[in-house]
Amino acid sequence: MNLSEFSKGMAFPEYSYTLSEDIIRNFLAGVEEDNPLYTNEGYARKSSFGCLVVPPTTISLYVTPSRVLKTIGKKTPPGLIQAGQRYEFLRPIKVGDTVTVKAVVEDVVQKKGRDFVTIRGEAYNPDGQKAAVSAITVIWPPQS
Amino acid sequence: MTDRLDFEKIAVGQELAPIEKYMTQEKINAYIDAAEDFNPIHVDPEYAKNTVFKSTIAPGYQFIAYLSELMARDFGEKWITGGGMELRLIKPVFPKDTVTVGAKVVEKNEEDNRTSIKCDVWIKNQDDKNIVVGYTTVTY
Repeated sequence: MNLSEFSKGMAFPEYSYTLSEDIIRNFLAGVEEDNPLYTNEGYARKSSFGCLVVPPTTISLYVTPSRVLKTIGKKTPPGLIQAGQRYEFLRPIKVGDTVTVKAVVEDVVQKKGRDFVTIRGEAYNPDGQKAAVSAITVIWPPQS
Repeated sequence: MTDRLDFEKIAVGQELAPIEKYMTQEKINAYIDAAEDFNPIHVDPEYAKNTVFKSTIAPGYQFIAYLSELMARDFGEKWITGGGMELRLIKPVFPKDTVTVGAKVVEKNEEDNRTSIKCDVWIKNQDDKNIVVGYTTVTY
């Protein structure tokens, strides 16, 4: 997708994503995290959540430029680099839950000759409550 | 995993125990498998050789997760129901880099039965250069 096709406030079609056990296992291997809230069923049962939950930054597995652009049949150019990140964590998401994502282009700016695009995605749990928000800023590669 | 912080005793100026991590291509691949975000700059050494970095680099959100690990270790469920982060990524992380993840409490406010804590956070590489800087908040 070309940079010129983005505009601030542009909204994308909603999409869903399931946080399966396999995905969480790969995520935890990739970041080497073993917090018992995510990994120990007995411990998690006694937590205030009552069950295993997903690490909150797993929102970055599904609020990515490539998944968001896929909703309109577009692809990211190779070589995209992340420059910034903002998160808000509001509610737990259980392992196995399917979340619904609403994404928008939060900003498109040029600084020091580089193009920065910020995409913001809100994840809603199966009860329709907002569970987490991720805003990722990437440097858009120069168009060839 | 260490014991949670004693929230009553958290004080401005306090540093949270740092975490050290060693990055490998295998860990990058595991993360990318979960994210299905096959940007060649992370997974294709041939492509990456011809970039400004001359090597694959870890995806930003992979090592940003280390900060969440540190916060979840010390704040537990409160991090998941009232956490926030704002970060700038300054330098890449390469396979075989060792990074240190740290945080320091810079604000603590107690109002109307709600406590909010703000930490300056950072990730540094083995050369003591900042990779990521920013802050986290926890409200409960």
